[in-house]
Amino acid sequence: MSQHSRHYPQLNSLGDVVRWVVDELGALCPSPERLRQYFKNPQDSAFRDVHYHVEELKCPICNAERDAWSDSGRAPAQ
Amino acid sequence: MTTPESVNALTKTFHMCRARLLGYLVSAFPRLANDADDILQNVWLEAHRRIADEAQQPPENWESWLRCVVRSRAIDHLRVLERHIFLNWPGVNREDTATTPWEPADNEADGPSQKVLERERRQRQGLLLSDVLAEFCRWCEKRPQRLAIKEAYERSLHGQSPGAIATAMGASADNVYQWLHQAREWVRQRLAEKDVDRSVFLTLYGRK
Repeated sequence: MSQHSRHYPQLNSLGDVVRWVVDELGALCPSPERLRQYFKNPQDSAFRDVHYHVEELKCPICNAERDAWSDSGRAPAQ
Repeated sequence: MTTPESVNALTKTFHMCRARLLGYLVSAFPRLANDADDILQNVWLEAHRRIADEAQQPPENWESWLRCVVRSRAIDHLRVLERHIFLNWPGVNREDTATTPWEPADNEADGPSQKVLERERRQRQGLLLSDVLAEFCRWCEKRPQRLAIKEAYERSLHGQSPGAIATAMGASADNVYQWLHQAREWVRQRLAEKDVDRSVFLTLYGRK
């Protein structure tokens, strides 16, 4: 099995393509700086867009950053 | 810290945090789970090269730095897929898209090797959708009043109607339509400027 076929996402429409880019490549992830500020103060209304991205969309990249940040007490990867 | 000391610190840290890096990689990029070990191995080699051969200044937080490299290499893997998807998306004819409306046609005087080089240059320059969207995101983050544009656009990409977006964001429908128009126009213009082989542009705008 080729490298591509092993990983290839099932994309049947334009919407699938765009969502794949957003969901798996983190194209709309907030900057590391804003993400760190949000983790420190998730209730701050200045980070409503981040709240939606992290909590409602459950972005796996940002949530993995939060887990790592929580574990280490350090900033997310720059 | 001398270079040998830095290499020792890197080696020690990498072994200590390998399981956490692996967990991070698989959680953040589940599609790459089968490649996680290979990616980590490449990260180790890259980090070692930077510290040992290029004498890069050691980071203050080794684990955070390694996680950053893991993230970058994982996204690189996915971008190869992204490129593949766009270049093979139905309707994108590479011969037709080699010349774009915003770039001059190949010079007829160019020899075959020159044309191949030019085409490869354009391929490399092709701006991927993820680049455009990330740039859009940074543009929105520069000014607080633009954050609503980003949120509305992200909601729309995930299928929310303008009415639902307005309700969720506590905004008027008119505002939402305006935000979505701004976002789509920004992305469309950026793609028109930068997507030199039109693979992204045709995928987004060439098909219904």
